[in-house]
Amino acid sequence: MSENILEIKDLVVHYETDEEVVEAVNNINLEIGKGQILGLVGETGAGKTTTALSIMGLLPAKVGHVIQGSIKLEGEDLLQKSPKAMREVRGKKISMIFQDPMTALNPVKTVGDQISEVILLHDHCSKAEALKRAQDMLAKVGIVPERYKDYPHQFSGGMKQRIVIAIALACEPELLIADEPTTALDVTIQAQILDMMRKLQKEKGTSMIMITHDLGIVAEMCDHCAVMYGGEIVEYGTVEQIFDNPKHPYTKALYRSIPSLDQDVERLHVIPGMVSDPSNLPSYCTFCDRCEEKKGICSEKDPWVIDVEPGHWTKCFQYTPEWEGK
Amino acid sequence: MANLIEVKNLKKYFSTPRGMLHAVDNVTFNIEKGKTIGIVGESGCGKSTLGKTLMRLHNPTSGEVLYKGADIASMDIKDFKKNYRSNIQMIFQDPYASLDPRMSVLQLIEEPIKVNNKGMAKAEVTKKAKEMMELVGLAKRLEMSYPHELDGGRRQRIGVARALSLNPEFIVCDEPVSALDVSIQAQILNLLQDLQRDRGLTYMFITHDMSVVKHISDDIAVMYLGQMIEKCPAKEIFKNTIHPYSQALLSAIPIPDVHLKKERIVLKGELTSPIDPKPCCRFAARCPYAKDRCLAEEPKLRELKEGHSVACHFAENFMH
Amino acid sequence: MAKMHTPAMEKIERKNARRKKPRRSTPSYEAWKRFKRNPTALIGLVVVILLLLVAIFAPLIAPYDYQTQDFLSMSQKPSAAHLFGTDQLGRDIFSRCIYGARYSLVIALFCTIAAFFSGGLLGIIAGYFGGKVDTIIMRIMDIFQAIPMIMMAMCIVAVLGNGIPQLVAAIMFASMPTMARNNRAAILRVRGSDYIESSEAIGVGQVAMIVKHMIPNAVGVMVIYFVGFLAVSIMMMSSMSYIGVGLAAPTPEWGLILNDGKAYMSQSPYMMVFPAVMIMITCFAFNLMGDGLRDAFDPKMK
Repeated sequence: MSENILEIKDLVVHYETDEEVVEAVNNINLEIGKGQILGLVGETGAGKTTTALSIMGLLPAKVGHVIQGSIKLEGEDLLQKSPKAMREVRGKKISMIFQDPMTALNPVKTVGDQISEVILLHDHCSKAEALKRAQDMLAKVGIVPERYKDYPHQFSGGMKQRIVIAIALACEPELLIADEPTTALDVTIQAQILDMMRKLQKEKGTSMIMITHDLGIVAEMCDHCAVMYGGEIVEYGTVEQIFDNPKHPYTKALYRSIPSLDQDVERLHVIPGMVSDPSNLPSYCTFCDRCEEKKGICSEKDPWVIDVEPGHWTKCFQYTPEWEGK
Repeated sequence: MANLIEVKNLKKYFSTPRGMLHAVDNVTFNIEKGKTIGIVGESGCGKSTLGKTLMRLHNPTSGEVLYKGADIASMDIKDFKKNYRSNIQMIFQDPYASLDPRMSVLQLIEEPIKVNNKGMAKAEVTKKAKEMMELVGLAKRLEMSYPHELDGGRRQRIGVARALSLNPEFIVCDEPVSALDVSIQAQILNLLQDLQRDRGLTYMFITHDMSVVKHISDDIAVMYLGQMIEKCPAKEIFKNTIHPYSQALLSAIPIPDVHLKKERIVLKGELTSPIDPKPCCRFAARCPYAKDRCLAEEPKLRELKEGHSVACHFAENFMH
Repeated sequence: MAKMHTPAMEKIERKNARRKKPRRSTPSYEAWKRFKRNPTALIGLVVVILLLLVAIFAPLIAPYDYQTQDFLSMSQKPSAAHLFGTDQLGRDIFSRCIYGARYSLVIALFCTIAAFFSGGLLGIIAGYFGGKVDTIIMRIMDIFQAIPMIMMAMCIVAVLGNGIPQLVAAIMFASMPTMARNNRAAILRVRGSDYIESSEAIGVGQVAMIVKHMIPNAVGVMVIYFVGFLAVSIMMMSSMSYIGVGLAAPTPEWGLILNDGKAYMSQSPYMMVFPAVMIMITCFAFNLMGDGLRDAFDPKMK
């Protein structure tokens, strides 16, 4: 495989309050190749956003703690960097797009100012040049450059998300983290935004992490896919591997619980029980209590990573020699 | 089969500082007893307003809503509340905001029973509420819990129980699963289907999710800026999509299949709000096929073939 | 059970082991838990409770009667016999400050209750009914508010004369507009929520809607304003007494004591310092408590 831009090793992140400890991310390992798009799929509380925030160094102060692990961007461990050094990295090397475009923009500044502000912060250039680049950026995300003087409220929801993307890409970061970038938008607008993101990604060769709960978006956008459940990555592979040959019971059940457009099903498949509570995880397999394929061993210990084919791994005892015994 | 609900030329306008907002504009459709109609559209298309107008949470500007032949849209609101309220119920979109945070699960489910059966003994109310909890699959131990302690799926079950406890015949489901995780979404959809089968309920299912609507509905109506632009049996729309907007809407949905490389119609621009709309096709500005006539004349919803109606001047061109 | 044990978890486990039975998690209990975790709010609460105790047990705490004049020890500096010193008539300032707590707290409570049941109720009505009712009530309140609070109070006392009922009435009228505005906002916020619509859909009537849904959900915010207003009332009352339009001598009201000391400020500053400190501590405590309540009831509002 090509060179990796980002490598996450044994990352554990907890949220600690006086009342409880939330085990948000449990021992995840992840690699993203240069120019690749990785899809991070999972339900609420699966740890997707926490993973993203750890990479950005934006975990909530006092509460969020990295217990162990490393996050290496081009070989440099981001977790060892000082807050000041991290500010240099954010925006310049890694950018993030959030779900809600309304809260990500400053309502009292023109969009042109907001884009050129980022450019001025990271690339030392003249104001005029920054403004010129801001206008180019607007054109790239499909907004008439003349509108750089407008304020956020003068744009619609989809347009605002385009501006957020323009800000994120202004300094040509090497890695873009998109956290549910289209969830708040309508499907036809979502199609426009995804189209544009794909085009820009190809053009610049940006690596990307696409966080979503929509398997359709992953199938259309991504090269690799990591399925998260209860703060763990339960399955990882190329999208073809994950979609054509899902191995983990959770991934399989997830497919069957989505109503399909091209097949008629009388009843939807239901994953029994509730999404696991990350403040009360079992010491054995997290998915065990909802799993339909479980055996005795599943409630005894935590499964480890098992390679099922080259580049495709999962965390399930089914694929170990021990499975037959019990 | 008999129609339970007949909606005729229903209009709901809101006056705003910028002009008259045509939230629901001249909508006509019927719902057969025991069937589900799916109302699809993007935000701002008036689908929620339509649902709330049927519930009389909004008073309609004009038009009729016949429930078993009685016009519930224009009757006195007191009369409606007294005689029809419990027949027509609603399940709300956001199970986080639509439950009073200061009431326990049991209190929340008892409330509709208490309100609509004045004089019923307390013990009886409680008994009935407990039956409802069992019906929607809420464990007994949750009786004294408060909404903030429960996950979205369970909260939505409370919403379903509240609506059902009045023994309604018709339920407006306003995006009941869009705030839920996929694995929980399936639980609620199955629950709604089971209840329909067992109790002969009639649903109006409002959603923006095409795959959900296809799964649950018998008929589908697509709305755009307050108007109904296409209406047909659920399966038909996926085989034979006629209106250019419906085509774009369907093609925009990301499909979880890596091998399917489909042509995508990417629409220009975005939905505008229907304030004082001009008498032309409201989709014309974004339509890839728009011609002069589309800007000059408003297309009417007309039946092209058995059960399939479309509001487009050039609908015949898009038929397969 | 957990994936990975950390010291933080062990700490919580130890804490839980000490606790006997887990409490049912009601919304009010959650609010109390948040309040409890806020040290400044707790300080406020403790001081308020202390002040209440002082007010209740004033005769037991105060070493002297508050109006007995002792001409042998006039204008004495603070000493073991007279903790806060004595005033120009030989009255023990400490005893007067202790008794002052009674007047200040009780009258402030009355003022706030009166303001709540006049202005607050009007605000609730305006918020619930909206439309013309709202416009009429709120425009009248606007007119009220155009007159400065203290001036308004002074006019009322000028017409009705000195005395406790007059003082309460004056403060009530002066604070009505703010009270109405706050309560209206509280009701409006609840009124716009989905659960009100959902209750409407199941046929809940108007009265039940207000009593069962709106007030219980707005009450948290109302309590916050109530406590905040206690501080405002104490300030207003003291200011009025200080400028001579509040209570009449020899009532041991803090503002009055302050006024008494005014003439001797240069020789005996303690005559003013102690009552001033009492007023300050009281207002500060109520404000701390009010802020704590706000954070507890409404963690998102900050």
